Amino acid sequence: MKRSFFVMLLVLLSFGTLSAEGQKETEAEYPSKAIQLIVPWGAGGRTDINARMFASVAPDYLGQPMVVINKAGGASVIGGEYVAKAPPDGYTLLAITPGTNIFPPLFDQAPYGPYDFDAIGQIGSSTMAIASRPDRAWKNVDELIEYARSNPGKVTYACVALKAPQLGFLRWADAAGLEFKHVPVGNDAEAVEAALGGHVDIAMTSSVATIISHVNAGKLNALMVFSEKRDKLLPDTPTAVELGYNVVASPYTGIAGPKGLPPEVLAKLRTVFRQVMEDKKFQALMTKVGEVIDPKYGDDFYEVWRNDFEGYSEVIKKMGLKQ
Amino acid sequence: MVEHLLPALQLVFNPVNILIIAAGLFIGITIGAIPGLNVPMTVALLLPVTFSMHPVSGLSLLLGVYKGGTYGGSISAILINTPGAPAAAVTCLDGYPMAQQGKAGKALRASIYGSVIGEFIADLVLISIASQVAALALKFGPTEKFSLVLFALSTISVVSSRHKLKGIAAGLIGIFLHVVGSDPISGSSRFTLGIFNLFGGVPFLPLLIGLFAVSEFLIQIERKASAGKKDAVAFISERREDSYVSWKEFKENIKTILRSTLIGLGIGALPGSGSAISAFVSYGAARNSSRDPEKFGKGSLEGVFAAETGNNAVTGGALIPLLTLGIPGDAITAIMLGVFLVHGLIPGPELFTKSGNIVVAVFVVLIVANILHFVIASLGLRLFVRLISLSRSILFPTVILICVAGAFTVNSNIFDVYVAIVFGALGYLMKKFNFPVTSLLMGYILGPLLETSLVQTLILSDGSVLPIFTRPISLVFVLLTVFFILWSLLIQKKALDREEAANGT
Amino acid sequence: MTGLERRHVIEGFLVTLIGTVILILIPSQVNEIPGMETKMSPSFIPMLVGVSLIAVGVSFAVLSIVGRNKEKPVELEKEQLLRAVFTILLLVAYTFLFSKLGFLVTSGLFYGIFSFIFGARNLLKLFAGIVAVPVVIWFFFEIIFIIPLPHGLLY
Repeated sequence: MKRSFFVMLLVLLSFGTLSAEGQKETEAEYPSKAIQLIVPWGAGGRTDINARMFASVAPDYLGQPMVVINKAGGASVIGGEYVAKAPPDGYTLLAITPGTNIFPPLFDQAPYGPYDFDAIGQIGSSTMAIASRPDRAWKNVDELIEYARSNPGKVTYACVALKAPQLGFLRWADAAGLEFKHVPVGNDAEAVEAALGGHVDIAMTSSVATIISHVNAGKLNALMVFSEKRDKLLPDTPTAVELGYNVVASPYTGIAGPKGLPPEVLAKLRTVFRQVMEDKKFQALMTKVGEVIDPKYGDDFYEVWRNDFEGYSEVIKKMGLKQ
Repeated sequence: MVEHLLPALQLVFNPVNILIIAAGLFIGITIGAIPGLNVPMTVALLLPVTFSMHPVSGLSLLLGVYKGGTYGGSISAILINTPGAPAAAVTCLDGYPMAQQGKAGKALRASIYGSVIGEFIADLVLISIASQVAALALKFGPTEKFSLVLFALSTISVVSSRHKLKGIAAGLIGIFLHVVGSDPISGSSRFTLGIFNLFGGVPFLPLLIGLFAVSEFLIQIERKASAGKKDAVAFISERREDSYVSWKEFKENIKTILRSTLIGLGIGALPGSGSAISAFVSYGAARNSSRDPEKFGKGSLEGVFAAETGNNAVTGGALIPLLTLGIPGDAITAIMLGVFLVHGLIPGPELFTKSGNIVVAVFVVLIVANILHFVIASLGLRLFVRLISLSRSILFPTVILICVAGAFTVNSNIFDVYVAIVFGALGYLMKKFNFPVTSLLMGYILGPLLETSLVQTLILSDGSVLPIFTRPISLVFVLLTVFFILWSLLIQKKALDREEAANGT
Repeated sequence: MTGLERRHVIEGFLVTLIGTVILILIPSQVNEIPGMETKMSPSFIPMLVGVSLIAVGVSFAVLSIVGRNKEKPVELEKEQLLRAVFTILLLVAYTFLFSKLGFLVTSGLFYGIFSFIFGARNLLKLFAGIVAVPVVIWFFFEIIFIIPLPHGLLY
């Protein structure tokens, strides 16, 4: 009986604090309450970790807490829709990746468009790469191109279908005028597994982290990367651009809000974003989790979306992947 | 390896670290035992906590949760017919009937012994021949995986004992449920009915909560409220032999335990499968080679041993591809991969040469965790058994509240709670009409593997199904499948004949 | 035809019906992305499942009619089914209110209802449960796990 009384008291207390919070909500300068950062994927993934790192440092500059909420489901469309349709007051933000604002709209599988968000900033991007087992007929990308040219449609590559890996690969294959055979897999790890086991010729992965150990151990040859510049982990592997193909595709992770944020709120968020990126503690945290900070601010980040969406739109039109 | 042993022992054997392992196990068992809370979520939430720890401590915590959580599901499975984790779904089949016969103590003890032994042997294999096992696992391409899935599916007809056709129908519906959502292979959206919430498929955990926990709640609530004083969940037999596993019983089950360990190890080592499949296949195999297969599903000790050993041996098996290849086998090991990366350790071929101390320390942690698992689970047992002497009017409403909250928090999405209720209704009807819900779950879990491996096989062979029969490993599984089905039909016929003879007709 | 046989035939018919519905829905519910060559149509598995369900359902019904099905069904009582339907409706109401009014308040209410249905008549215990159970669950999720539950209008 004593205990239940105590518990009742607790409930009453929590009611009290809540209603007090509700009253002072209006009028104050932004931000006046906790900000929700929506992660449209499950807990523990890369986007989630990036978001949690960001949310752990951002309060130092916001003066308000930032709560990470995993709103997964519908291949991230549910979380995306939630933010796209949230009131643009700056209290609901999105941990954004191409998986949310580029690919679902690309295939008309989302109730929002790629630009229905206000860009705050890019935290980082990952390097996509292709790799093969050393016992294949090619040791580097030039030899691969030569081999694929004389054996069109014979060389197999494994990667996730209709997302950055396959569409990025197709952009390159199209630019090089080559034809490959695609083997769809569920995730990067499965692509690497299939290549290691010799079941496919090439693994196309969206992150160098999945192959680096095998490359260092001589079990896989990294052939080419799709980033702007060479990857620090693979200094000897050329980029597609170096080889003369105008293909840059690096899946990004960043922060965005619903479209139509008031100018002063957007400005505040962009400032805080920059401060976090330059924060020593944040940089240390990100290095620890093996993520490279590659910040892009405001409109530059918006440009990345435009590049991605237009580049991918072109390739799916060309390949007849969409009417 | 030997040169790393001393530093590794120093890393592991300090009071704080041992306490962390114990804490991990405790958290895991608790989370595992509560339907509505799940291990992957817990591991993900503990992840940031491990950032500030020494890598060995961080891994100790998560490995503890992993092992404890895989085992913990069996507790609620046995006591209230509600698996706390997907892997424990098979444990319900015999564990719950045992509890109803007053043998909850015996079933829970069997589940501890099976889990700990399965884990221990799997860990020893991991420590001694991990790279060889990994090399073998890599030989499994799409074709081999396809025939393995066929084999696993064939156990549906074995497990659903007397209602084979109903079991198959349930399995087919499960496979169909996996189809819903946007197809990871061709990107086409299927059976989404235009609901964006279904674009990523029918959410797994709400489905599990509904199918097992909510449906059981509906079954329980049917029972008229009795006016009597004692309305406990189940009675506990006073007889000592109903609460303990005798040495004789243990000896009779050693073969089952070893077989299930092997199955769990093998399936765990193949990325993308997992503990539920292993429990299912172990159970089917045990039933097919049992001396009294009719007892399965009615409270067979052998069934509990098979399911629990099978699912916990996976924890050792799944670490093999993780450590040697850097390829996670399931959601939990995928997050564990994160812990390694956080501390600058890259799992894969280099891990053993570059960070030998850590790897050996992980091995030591595994063994220590085994021992602690046994101790903690045995201590907790008395507490859990007491749970079922609790009044039904307290326990079941509490469980349903946790389930609703749990279904919501998986994705912070109210839609998921409705999914759980819909599957609760479906599960209830299935139970009423003798359609095995476990078969539906297996169909749902195996469906994606079946479809992707078949598509990959066809792409690689330019549309021919021949490789399924010409590749040696694949052929073995095809033959096993055929043998398995024929054998189970034979057993059923024998049982029916015996029954008819007994009825004197 | 005995009542038992009739029930088996109905079960077989239901399984056949599910299979048929799947087959009928395939053209409208499988939206292929053109140009994705995968050697196997995305409709293949649904089609296979549909056809197999029909086959299983029909053979089940036939086996029952010729008397090869010896399965003894669980007793179905009208009152039990009504209780189940009523409970499902309660759960739907709970979920709906839970998202609108908040977790703590609705959970307390529905704990009380369910506990009462299960036969709790001791008011003191009932009241203690109504207060304690939701709070403990809430504490577990919101404080320990830091996963917010819906707060709604009333919390």
